[in-house]
Amino acid sequence: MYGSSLDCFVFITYFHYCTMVPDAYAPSFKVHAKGMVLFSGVARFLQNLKNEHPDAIKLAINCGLALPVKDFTELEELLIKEKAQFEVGTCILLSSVFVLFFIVD
Amino acid sequence: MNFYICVVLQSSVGKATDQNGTPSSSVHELLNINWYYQDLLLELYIWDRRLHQLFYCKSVQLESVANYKNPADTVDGICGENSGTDKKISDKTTIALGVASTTESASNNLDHQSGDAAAPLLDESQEAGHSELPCNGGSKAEDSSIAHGQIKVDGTIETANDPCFEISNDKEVQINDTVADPIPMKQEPCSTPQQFKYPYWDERERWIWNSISESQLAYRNDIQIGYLEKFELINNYLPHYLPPLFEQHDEAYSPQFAVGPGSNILCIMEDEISSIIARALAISDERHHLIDLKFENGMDYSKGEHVKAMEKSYSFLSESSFSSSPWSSTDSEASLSSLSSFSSDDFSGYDSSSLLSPMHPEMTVNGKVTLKGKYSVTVVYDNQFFALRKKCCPSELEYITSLSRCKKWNAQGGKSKAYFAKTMDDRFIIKQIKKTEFESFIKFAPDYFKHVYHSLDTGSQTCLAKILGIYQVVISRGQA
Repeated sequence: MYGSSLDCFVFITYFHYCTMVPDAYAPSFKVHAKGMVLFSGVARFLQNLKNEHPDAIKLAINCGLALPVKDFTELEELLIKEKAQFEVGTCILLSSVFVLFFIVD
Repeated sequence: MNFYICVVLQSSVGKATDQNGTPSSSVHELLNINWYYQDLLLELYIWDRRLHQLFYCKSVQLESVANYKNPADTVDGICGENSGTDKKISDKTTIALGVASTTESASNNLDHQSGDAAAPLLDESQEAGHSELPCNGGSKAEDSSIAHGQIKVDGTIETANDPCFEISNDKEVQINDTVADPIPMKQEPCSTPQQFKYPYWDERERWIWNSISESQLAYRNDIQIGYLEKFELINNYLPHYLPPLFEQHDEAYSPQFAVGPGSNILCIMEDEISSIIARALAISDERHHLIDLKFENGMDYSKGEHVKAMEKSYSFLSESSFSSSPWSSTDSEASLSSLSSFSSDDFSGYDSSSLLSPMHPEMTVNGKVTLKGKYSVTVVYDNQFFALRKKCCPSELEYITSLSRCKKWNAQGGKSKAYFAKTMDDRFIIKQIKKTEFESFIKFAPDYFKHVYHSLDTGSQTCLAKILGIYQVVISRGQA
């Protein structure tokens, strides 16, 4: 799971964060983690739906829904885009935590 | 249960605050985090509703195709083990959407069989209960009275899987419907797949397919102008397909959000006593604003539409009742596990009717649906402390925001073994005080304010701890 060097770094940083960063910063990490769980859950759900019903989007369009996407690929791209937007916001919060980590370390 | 709470400025760390009137970074972070949680709740709602639409369309279309091609296959395909893939999927999703039957055992058998087969469709992380949640906002299937399908198969059974249904307007269903589907859906019978349309969803929920930034902006604008319908919807929404953001089984420890001063989002934790105080102060702060407006404009706003609008703009009930007796004992035997670290043994039975005056307003914090208990917070010497905080804190918003979250603090050296807590930003200390201490403070409060004001105005040193608030919190369970 933590095979690459980058993942190792993130994991170790998280470990240090949990043990060394003041409690005041914990909420910012929690909101980030919850966001990642949410987006991962949506991605898994979409993947299952895509596997089971590749034409679900077309069916929805046929039903009269005005969707901004034409297929699952575009829907997944929409999810990735929204996830990225959320990460940009929370990473600003987390950046202060990681800076503090390096100072402490 | 009565608690007497004292909030003290921790001067050693309190210097971290800005003196130029702008919120300090820690307060900014707390407020930003609350907004990020709102963004997440909005995302959760949007994606759950998107999935709901996709699932529903798919389910209905497949049913329509199946019924159009071979109506008799509806039942046979379900009951038989060798049914086609599409048929199985159709049944699964029907169950996932909660379009359950109210017919007799035959249809119930269908539900059970198809319910078992539904497992592979859903992700393994999805709880089993999710597959049983109906599309009408999480109400149980048996609460809904669903019209049966129009397609009769061999004249023996009306299929439960027909997409054409109507949800009754039972009270329980209505409560949940306000969350997900405010308007009961009515679908015209369809003979071909092409005839099936969704005018209701298309109009009422078209916004969920907008770009997220656009939706977030509209959501924030609504809160800013005091339009909280969507705020209530988002914060009370129970997702059908995705796991909730906060665990439902642990309500006492899951945050609740409220709109506070300046349309900022406050995070309320029921197990944190300062959080309840913060919520009450948010109401109190609004009162101060109204009083300021009244004096500035020389108008009586008390009966005006403005007051009503402002009160409505808050997502919690606010009351300032001076006629009731906030000091009478309201101890209940109900255990408060979330506040078990508090002791109220020495604080009951205190009757200070002499203090019943506008000087000590009582704020009833009674969350509409979010908080389980009823909380009454009496703000002792409200105006005096408010004036004192103006001198010590950059803004009331910062004070309230700091109080919105706290953590237990094991203070060492004290003999009273009183409960101590610190705000999450380490700016304030929260201490539970005894009845005798409370009574003593009431007596010497005028001298205390005189001394502290003099100290702050002249810059002279003082050894007194800067007490910025004394509160009585009354918690009564069972009235939620």
